[in-house]
Amino acid sequence: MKRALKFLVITVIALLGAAFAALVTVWEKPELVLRESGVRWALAHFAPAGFEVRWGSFAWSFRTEGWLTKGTRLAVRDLCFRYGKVAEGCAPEVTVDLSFTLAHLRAQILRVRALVLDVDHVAVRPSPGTEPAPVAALPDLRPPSFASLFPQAADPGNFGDVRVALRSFLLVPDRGDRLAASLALEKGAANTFSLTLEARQGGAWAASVRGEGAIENLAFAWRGTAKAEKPGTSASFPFRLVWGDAVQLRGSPSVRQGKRVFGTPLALNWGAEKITVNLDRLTFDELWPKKRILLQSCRFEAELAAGFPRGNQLRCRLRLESLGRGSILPPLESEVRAELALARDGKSNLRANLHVTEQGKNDYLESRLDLRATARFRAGLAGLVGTPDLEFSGNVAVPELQRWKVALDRTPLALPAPFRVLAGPARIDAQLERADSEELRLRVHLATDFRGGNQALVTRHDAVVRLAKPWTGPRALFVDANDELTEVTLEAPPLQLEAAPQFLPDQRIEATRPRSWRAKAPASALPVHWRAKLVTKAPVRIRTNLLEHEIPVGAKIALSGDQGLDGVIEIQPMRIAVFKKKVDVKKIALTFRPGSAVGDVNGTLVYRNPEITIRILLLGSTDKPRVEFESDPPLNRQQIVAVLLFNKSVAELNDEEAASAGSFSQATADGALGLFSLLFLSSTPVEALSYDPVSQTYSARVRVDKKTTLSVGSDFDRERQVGLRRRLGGRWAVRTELHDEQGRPDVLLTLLEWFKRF
Amino acid sequence: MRFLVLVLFFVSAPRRAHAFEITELCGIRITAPEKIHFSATESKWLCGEPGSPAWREIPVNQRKISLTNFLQSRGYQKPDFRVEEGALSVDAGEKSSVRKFTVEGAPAEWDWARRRHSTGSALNPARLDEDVTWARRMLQYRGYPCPKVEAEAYVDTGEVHLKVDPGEKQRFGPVQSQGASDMDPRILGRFTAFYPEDYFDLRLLELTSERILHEDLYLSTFYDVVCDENRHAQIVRRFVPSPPRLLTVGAGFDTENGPLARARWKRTRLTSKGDSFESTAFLSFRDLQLELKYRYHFPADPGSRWEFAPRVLVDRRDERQLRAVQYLLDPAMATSWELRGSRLALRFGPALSRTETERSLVSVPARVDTLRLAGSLHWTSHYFEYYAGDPREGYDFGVEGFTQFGRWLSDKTIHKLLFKHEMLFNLGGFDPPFLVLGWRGFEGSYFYNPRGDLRQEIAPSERFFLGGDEDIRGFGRQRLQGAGIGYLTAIYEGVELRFADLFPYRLQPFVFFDVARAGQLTETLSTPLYMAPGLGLRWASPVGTVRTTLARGFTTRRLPEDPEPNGQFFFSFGKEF
Repeated sequence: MKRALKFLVITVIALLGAAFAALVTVWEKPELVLRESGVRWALAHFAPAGFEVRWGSFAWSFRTEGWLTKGTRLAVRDLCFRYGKVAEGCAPEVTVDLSFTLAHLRAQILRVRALVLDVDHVAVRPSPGTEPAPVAALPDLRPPSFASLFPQAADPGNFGDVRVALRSFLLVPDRGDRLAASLALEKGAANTFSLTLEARQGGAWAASVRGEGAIENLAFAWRGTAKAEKPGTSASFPFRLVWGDAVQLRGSPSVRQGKRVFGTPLALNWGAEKITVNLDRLTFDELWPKKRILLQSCRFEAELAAGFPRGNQLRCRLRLESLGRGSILPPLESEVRAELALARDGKSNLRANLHVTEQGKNDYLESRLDLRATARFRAGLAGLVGTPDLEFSGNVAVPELQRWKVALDRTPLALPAPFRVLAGPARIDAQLERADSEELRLRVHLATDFRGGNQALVTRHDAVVRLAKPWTGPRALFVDANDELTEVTLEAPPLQLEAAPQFLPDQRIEATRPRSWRAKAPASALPVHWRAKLVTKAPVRIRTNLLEHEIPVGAKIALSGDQGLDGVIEIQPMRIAVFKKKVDVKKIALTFRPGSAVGDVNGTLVYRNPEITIRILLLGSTDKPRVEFESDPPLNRQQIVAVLLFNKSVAELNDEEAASAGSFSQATADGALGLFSLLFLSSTPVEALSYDPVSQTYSARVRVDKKTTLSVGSDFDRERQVGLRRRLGGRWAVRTELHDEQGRPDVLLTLLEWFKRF
Repeated sequence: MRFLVLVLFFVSAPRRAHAFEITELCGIRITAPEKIHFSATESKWLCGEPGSPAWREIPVNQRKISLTNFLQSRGYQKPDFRVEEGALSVDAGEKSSVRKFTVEGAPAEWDWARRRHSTGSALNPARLDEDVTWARRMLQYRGYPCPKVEAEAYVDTGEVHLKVDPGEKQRFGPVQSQGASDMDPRILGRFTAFYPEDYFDLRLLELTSERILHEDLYLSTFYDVVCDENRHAQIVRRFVPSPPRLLTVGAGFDTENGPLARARWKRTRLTSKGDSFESTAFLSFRDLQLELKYRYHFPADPGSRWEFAPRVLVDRRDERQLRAVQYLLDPAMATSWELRGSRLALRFGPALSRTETERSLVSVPARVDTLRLAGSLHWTSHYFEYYAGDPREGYDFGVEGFTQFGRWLSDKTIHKLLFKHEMLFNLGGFDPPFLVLGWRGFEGSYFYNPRGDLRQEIAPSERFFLGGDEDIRGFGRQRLQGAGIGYLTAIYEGVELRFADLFPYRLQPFVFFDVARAGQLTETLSTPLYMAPGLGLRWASPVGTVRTTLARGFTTRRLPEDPEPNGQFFFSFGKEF
């Protein structure tokens, strides 16, 4: 036993001695191991499969500068490498010459005599599907001190020739544009370093960083400018960075978007215990014409406890103000506060509590918004865990619409006529009612109380906005609104005795032809289902210069994106003048049914005089309304029209009046005289009316005043030329007939005729 | 020469390429290829209505919306707006035009590609409305009374696309009548141009209305096509009765007759069957006529077309070669039959005639009395009748004649037969027509035995004379007169090719070629062939047709009595080929 123990001890001592001797030998003569053949052997045995390296010349030498100090110089020419299809590159020159020492069995660089990396190109093609390495819930946010990365013993003055150049770096993704970059780092005089880094990805963006830095007192000070561009936008960030134990960044980032420039001073202090970010006066000019949004101040502060952020606070003051003179819009100021509390939740998850409040009050807008959110995230904020808890409430009020009318003038949001004369308040209240994995439900209430210019727009609107499956998907948005028109009186656009102008864009005319007639619209990423119910609590009253009285309109309709219009719009009892006769409108109802684009017309107008009662029935559909007549005692259609148009019986009509009555009757039967035309013609006495069934156009001669008559019509240019007898108006007509002359060819003879019937 | 080059340069230079007009209106400046004329209502919607507080002031964004609509109605689909110092500046852009016209769902019997002007016009809502109306009407011409037509248009391709659902092809079926009841509505059956079992054709309804109006029984009548929910049509006839008395004074003009005037007094509704009496006075420099007509519908059935239609005519003609007065008593029977696509009209009966010749180039009897059995048969297509005001298609054939008995007032038995024809062809079947080819003519002769001159039995005014606007247009009116006494045999044929839709303002140029021959004996063509090529211009004015022709006469062999061939110009108002 003793002998065995003795043998073991001697063997261990011998081995230790041999190992020490080997170490001493290698320290004294490293070139015995660290040489070209050794590198080749190591690459052959330890390099991953597919990794190939070749060089033109390889020289690695060592020198002894002290007992524990060595110098080494590695010079490789025409070094190229390839790692399968993932990466490849070539460097014409790689030269490293440095001195190092052993301290506590660790090598410390004492002097860099030369560091020359002349890399011609490196291309990297990342293999797809590479799983990112798992990370902690949140990385340690404490900045590493520069001194920990740079050896305290290293004297910046001991840097010799340092030149690093990467002329072409390509990152080739599977899809999309490749990323091209270049890098140049060079040591200048007085321990300064210059750095130029440029990168570009196709035409999507380009970025560059240029600057000079120096290492002083174990801190790295850097001054430079970073720039970035993408189509339509460019950014510039002149900065000054001091990296010692903490990181201090000062700069003035600015973004140019078209003619707009957004810029602000930025101050970042990133220490081991606190991160603060200060923004000062960030302006957004001309987001609104002649208006500027000003971020007066914004401060973010996060306390770090062992690298973990706690008590994060954001506080910003916003201000909307006018540019130039002449605007009476005062600045709109609002303050936004946010608090973000983060806590570890288990091993790798993170819990975040966010509380955001906004508050503003001035003559134009009063607002108060409050949002609370609690959510759990996977490590590295890589995704949500579970369902966030959300609470939201807020209200926005417009104290006076007229202020907005002035403010919005000459902008795309200017209030249109006839709403421009309305004055009064409006208010929106919103409350988040439900927030779980099934849906987010927001209840919104809007109330307006606008009056002015003999008009009123007093309405109430309640809407429930639901987002289904908000976190898991597939998401869908549902909007259910209930609108109540409490008191609405509006003035219709002015009309003249002529064809009405085109009021809406003609949807039949489209900019481009679809590829297929029945091409389906692409499915929306967020399908929206909406439905609005509109009810008039009191009739909507519409004034028009064509009628003496207001038109009372009641409505009880539902409008939805899926079903279209459903419900009834009804002109309620009123008295109007039809062809200068007082006529009672009993009702005119337009009934719309789900899925149908046209509505049914059902209306009754009654004219009474001591001798006769006439009922004008409006029937048919909105695209082809039909006019029928009934009377008591019973008269036929022509007799009724004669009474209505000329207040005469058929027997009393002169020729032109009778023909006009016939034309009127035919035009109404053909649907050429729609509801608007009837209203239009009813507003003034009709002296004569002619109708062309070929083009379905009418022309009417109306009396404007005692001396003036006016010809109006749907289209005068399309009158047909066929017909054996064509009225010219009054007692004049053109009559064509086959003239049979004995012994001669038949000829068509046309005469201009004056006629009188009696 | 330099002047010519300069003119050619300006004519050929694409001046319109950069031409634009400025329209200014209440601070709005519009640049467009043409001056934009806004209506009074449009101006108010753009500039505001001072009398209305709510519409006094129109903001720029609202002006933009209104202008977008107004410009769209004029064919400008892509206006570009700029606001400079509060003023709105608009570049209307190019005017969109229709470059392609397609129809989907058309029935086989409708060749919609025959539509002319389907491209080239401004692409705007009015154009779409016009296309829809046109398509509906084309289908209603072809048996589909209740079609559905929708229009779409695409600015990038300039395409107008009509989606057509013609519905069921239907027949006329029964017709309801709604109107004044002082006359038996069965009377209207006399004028009906269709049978209930015929396929629906809107033109035949309108033709029927035209016939009724032409008869002056009603002031207004039309057929209302009522489509029910199943798109089945019900035809309702509506009418307004006319007062029974009608006084008419008409006027026309042509270079042959000078001013024309006609006064007519008509009394309708003499009985419940619609009998009428009519007196007409016709006046021109060459012709004075006084005519009295009575129409007596004797059958018990008021819808019957048989009628007794006696007339008395006094006709005084003052031509270059003669002056004569004819007195005619013509107690004839008349009726008509409606065929598929046409109408056959018959008139026959005895006629007592006296012709007094006051002046003649040759020696003729001063008075010729005859007793005849006269008749005429006319076969006229519905479309010839329907398009009478704008001739484009159809035919009209007529046969007229009489037999003059030798033992009754006249010494000799003589027969006369005259065949007339006119045919119009819409070449290519375009709509509206592009080329209209017309062919008209007559062939007539007297027949008697033995052959020889009938100077005593046939008055000169009843003989054939050629030349003038109504037959061979290269010769003056009735200048081909056969030694001054006229012909007993004559043939005339003329063709005319009219460009119906080539020039604007309804101006229609045409070329024609007329030929004629005649003979002074029965069944004999003894004259040379007379020819007259020429050209003319027709203007369908709002108050009637104006025609001018310029032609030159030629002859294969000139006879001593024939006029010197030269150019001939005619101008007429109201006459058609």
